[in-house]
Amino acid sequence: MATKGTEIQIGDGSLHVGDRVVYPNQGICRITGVEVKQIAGRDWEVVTLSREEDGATVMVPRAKVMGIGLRKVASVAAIDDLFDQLAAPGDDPQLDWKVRHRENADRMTGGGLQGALDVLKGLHALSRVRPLPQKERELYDSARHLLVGEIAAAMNVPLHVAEDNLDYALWPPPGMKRKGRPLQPATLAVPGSSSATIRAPARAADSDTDDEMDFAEDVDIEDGEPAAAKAADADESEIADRDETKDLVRQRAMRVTAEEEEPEALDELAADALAATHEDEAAVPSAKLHAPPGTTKPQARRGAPPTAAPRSAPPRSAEPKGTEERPAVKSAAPSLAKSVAARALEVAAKVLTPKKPGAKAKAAAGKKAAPRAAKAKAAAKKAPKKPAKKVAAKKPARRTKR
Amino acid sequence: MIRLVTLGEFPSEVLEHVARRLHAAYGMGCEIQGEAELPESALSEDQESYDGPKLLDEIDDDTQLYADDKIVYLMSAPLTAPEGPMGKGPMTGFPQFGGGRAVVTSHGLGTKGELPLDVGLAKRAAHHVGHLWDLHHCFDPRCAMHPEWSPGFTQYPDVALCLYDREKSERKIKLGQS
Repeated sequence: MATKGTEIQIGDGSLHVGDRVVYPNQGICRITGVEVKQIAGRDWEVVTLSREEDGATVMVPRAKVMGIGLRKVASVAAIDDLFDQLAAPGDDPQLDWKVRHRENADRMTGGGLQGALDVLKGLHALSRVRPLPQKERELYDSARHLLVGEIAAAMNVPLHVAEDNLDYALWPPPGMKRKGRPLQPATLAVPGSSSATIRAPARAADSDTDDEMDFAEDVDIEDGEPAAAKAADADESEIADRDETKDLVRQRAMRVTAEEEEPEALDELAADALAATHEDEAAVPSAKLHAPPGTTKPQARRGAPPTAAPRSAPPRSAEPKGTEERPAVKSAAPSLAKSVAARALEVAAKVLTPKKPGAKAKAAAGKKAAPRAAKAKAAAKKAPKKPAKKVAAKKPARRTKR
Repeated sequence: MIRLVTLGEFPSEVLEHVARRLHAAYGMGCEIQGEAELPESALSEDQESYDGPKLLDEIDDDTQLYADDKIVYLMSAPLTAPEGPMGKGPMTGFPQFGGGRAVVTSHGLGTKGELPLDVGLAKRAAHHVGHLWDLHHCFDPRCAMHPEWSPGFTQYPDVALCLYDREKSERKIKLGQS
């Protein structure tokens, strides 16, 4: 059963059948009618929408239309104001990822034009400082998609023109003006930086960030990352430390207690094996993990062969005759995985240390009393680390590998 | 399949280079389909450039477009498009966003500060084919989807997509094939 008619009012009365509306996180839709659907034995009055992008049908309970943020397409004046904001110099990006994530999620679920604009501008500014993690890259693309769709719908221009105009504001081409005011042309460097060197977006230490490209590094990188970005890096690594599993914390508490109990002489073989695991870390400064994009390849970090071909490219034999080779990927810094493995090995070595019966009980007590564990940890820092002989017996395999 | 149709004279080695680069960038077949005539009715008001959307509408071409096919028209004359809120900017091509056809111009290539004809045309074509697969502009200057007027576009002549765009295009291609 369907009741269709242009006089039907939807929501607060501002929406009618046939209107083009914006569905938050979905894009531009057209209201096709109001129908009564029987769902789970109940009659529901639903508003049917057709998504312009792919023609998909969306049904929303009529009572919830305003609650989900369904709204009319923005006016031309609102779009003009949007471009003013896009072309204006932006604030510094929010570097605290937790705050950023919460704010961006709220903005996107709100479904407003301003929210999508703020997300796009904030993430765009951030992308000039450091590469975006995968989730934020998706969010950036979603915000861009929604804005491009709305600009095209509001201004009645093709999508490609809307996309180009959006980027004329974000990356102004030489000579571009906004309301008579010339815009600063886009550069490879961070806007406002006086350095003449080419700056690629800095690579962050995000553990969930994958290096997006497979290219060899061929740009000069500025020495200094913004101080705020460095501070945020430190914060994020601290947060990452706090996210360790409970098991690891428990193991650490046990290890500390055990070390307090029975200090043993360092076996030569064990010392050798431990040293081997830290050789790579010691050889390269830890700042490499915070290196800019391109200096550290994802393949290298994972220990993959450095000359791996791009996935989209066909095998060399399959590629048409005369296809040029891509530049070979340069050698990269020691992998993050390797340092994690070394850390795990160290923890395992400590845990496998033979303990006196009392040690385990003390460890359990230490687990319950966090302050006590912290105290014990401080004490352990003073005492030299001494792995047991039992570990040394297991080490030859690692030595052989080395 | 990406089909290349020329709207003017192009050296065969340039066309082969473009076909190879597109094939490598998107992992799908690319062939040189043939030639078509440039519709004079698509000339813009100033009679010096062609109107992109109008050109795609009025082009007389028999090339069939199947589910996952994309047609790229290559031309050497300057292109223009409707003026947007920011005014007129540089125009290297006009794709039907998420659609099947795009027109790419080689106008300006080989001049000072621009890429050579073969490399530049391949990169421009890859960029606009990306728009046909619903890809948006990318902030990574090494990605082919970086805005074509930005210095990064000429700084990195390799035709390659960033990981995000590559995965998105692969998803779209699979969806198109199914």
